[in-house]
Amino acid sequence: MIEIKNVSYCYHKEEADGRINENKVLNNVSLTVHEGEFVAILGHNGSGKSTLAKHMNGILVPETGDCLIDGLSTRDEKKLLEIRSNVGMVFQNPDNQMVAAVVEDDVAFAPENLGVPSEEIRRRVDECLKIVGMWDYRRAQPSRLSGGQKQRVAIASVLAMEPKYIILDEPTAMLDPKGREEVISTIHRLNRERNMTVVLITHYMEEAASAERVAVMDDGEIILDGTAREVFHEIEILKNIGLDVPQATELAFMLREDGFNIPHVITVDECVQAIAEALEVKS
Amino acid sequence: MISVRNLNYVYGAGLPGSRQALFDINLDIETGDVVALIGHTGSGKSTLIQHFNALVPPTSGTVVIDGINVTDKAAKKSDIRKKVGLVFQYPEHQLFEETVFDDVAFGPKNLGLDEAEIKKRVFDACAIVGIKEKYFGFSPFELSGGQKRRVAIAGVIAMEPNVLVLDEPVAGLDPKGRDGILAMITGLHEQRPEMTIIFVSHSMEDVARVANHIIVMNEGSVAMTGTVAEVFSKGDELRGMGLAVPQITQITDRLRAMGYELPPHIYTLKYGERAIAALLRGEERTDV
Ligand SMILES: Nc1ncnc2c1ncn2[C@@H]1O[C@H](COP(=O)(O)OP(=O)(O)O)[C@@H](O)[C@H]1O
Ligand SMILES: Nc1ncnc2c1ncn2[C@@H]1O[C@H](COP(=O)(O)OP(=O)(O)O)[C@@H](O)[C@H]1O
Ligand SMILES: [Mg+2]
Ligand SMILES: [Mg+2]
Repeated sequence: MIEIKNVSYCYHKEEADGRINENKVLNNVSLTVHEGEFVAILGHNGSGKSTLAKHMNGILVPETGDCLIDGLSTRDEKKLLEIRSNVGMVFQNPDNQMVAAVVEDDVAFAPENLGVPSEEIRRRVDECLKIVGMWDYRRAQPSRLSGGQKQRVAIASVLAMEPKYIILDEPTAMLDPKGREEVISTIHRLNRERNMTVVLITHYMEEAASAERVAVMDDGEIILDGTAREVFHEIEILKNIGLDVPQATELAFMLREDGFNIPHVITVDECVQAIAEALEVKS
Repeated sequence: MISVRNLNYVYGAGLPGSRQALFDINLDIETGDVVALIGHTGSGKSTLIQHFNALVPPTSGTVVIDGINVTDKAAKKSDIRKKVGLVFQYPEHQLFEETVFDDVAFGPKNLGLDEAEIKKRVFDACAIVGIKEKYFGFSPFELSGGQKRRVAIAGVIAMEPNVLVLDEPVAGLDPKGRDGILAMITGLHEQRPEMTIIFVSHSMEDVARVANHIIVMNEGSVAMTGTVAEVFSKGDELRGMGLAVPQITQITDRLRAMGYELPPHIYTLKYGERAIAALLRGEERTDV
């Protein structure tokens, strides 16, 4: 369980005149992520999502409040290695995450650093590359891969540490629709088949709609937290803070506003079905 | 008018590990068009547009813009850069002046314009991208991600190019930041209808909102060109190339396949909603 309890955080910046400027980025944030959950985090640029994510594996430590991973506080420096091996992070730009010249070496890098025995490393590398569908590319140069493929290798590299939790910070921002779909379906599969706990930060509303739970950040606070269905029902709140809803959701909303009896939906499938049912009723 | 003829480009030509990124590209882009360039990552979009302002020399073939062969080695680079403004991906990483004003003024200053003209251009460009005068004295680093990007774009618009090329201008922005950039493109097209605008995007919803033409790249070749309606009517082909159509188009395609009579070419939410509402009311198809 990841427990973020009343966490506040400021970045300090020294101005030219020596004054220290405080920028409060997290304001009394509380969020609990249970084992096996798939949580999406939405929020405008600068709302504090990445800062929150960096608290989850102790890259940042709260100014006030606590961040506990399976009961271990990120304030406890002696526990940091254990925390980091349980919480894996994947960032936005796959290019900056590749360290080795060959795909399989890249995946082996973190477990090697953790001192995992070499037979076990071999097993993990093969397994993780198969999970993300990149085993055929194990001897390829990362520079020759597409964005979606690189990002899947980055995920395999994190998986090779066998973390319980995986935090993905806008992993699809630089990808084309197919690359996006590859990455999202891979993490859904990990969540389903391996019970891996997922925290996914994204600007794509359709990706968030596929999560069990969605938390919305605005200016350092969590303002909505519920199922994807509940959160995307708050169309006006979301639009007010500069976010959006999936087009399927908005279409159903517009039709309701026009007086038609169409329920709230969050996916294309649901939307097609709802409209077809309304048309059947009419005829 | 931009004409691309038999353009080929090979990275590291003649060296081991060389890689052909463009294969025999032929294209015509009309003056004043707003063109979306789409295609999977690695399909050659960035390589292609870098040929438009002579950043890379073609391995073979030509690009002619308004009668000037920009791929001719003898062509003056400064003339080409005046004509064609290129906004790179994540352009905000290249802001370096102390103030917003100086950053936007950098290009016009290099053109050797006088103070008054430089000032006018900065004001005009910032108005187009929606950066208010009160920010002129700010350091670019004090601005939000979306604002920074708009400052970077203003710097290119201030050069008053005939052709503006933007490489993934909305990548990494939140929906509001995205809307801001898209509204800017639409506004720019209205104010300067003679400017040709080419932008790269992975968001089909965004493409549908602002472009009137689409060029689809696939594995280094041009796979399709046409109006937005023409290209988005080929959903299966697009999916085969790792692309997609907007959700609203997926929804109306599926309803049509179930036998419901909807007009063709639905790719914006507004139009789609009107068509479905008409169907629900039992109105005859209007195709408006
Ligand atoms: N290393 C840093 N130093 C100073 N300020 C920062 C730093 N990282 C982020 N910030 C500021 O903190 C705020 C929140 O940033 P971030 O957590 O990156 O938001 P998000 O991921 O939601 O876009 C922004 O105003 C940003 O400018
Ligand atoms: N500097 C480079 N050196 C070698 N190959 C490159 C370089 N830049 C791009 N490529 C290759 O050229 C192809 C086209 O890339 P690019 O034009 O960047 O595509 P896109 O912008 O559509 O993602 C890809 O296969 C890419 O790997
Ligand atoms: Mg972030
Ligand atoms: Mg590119």
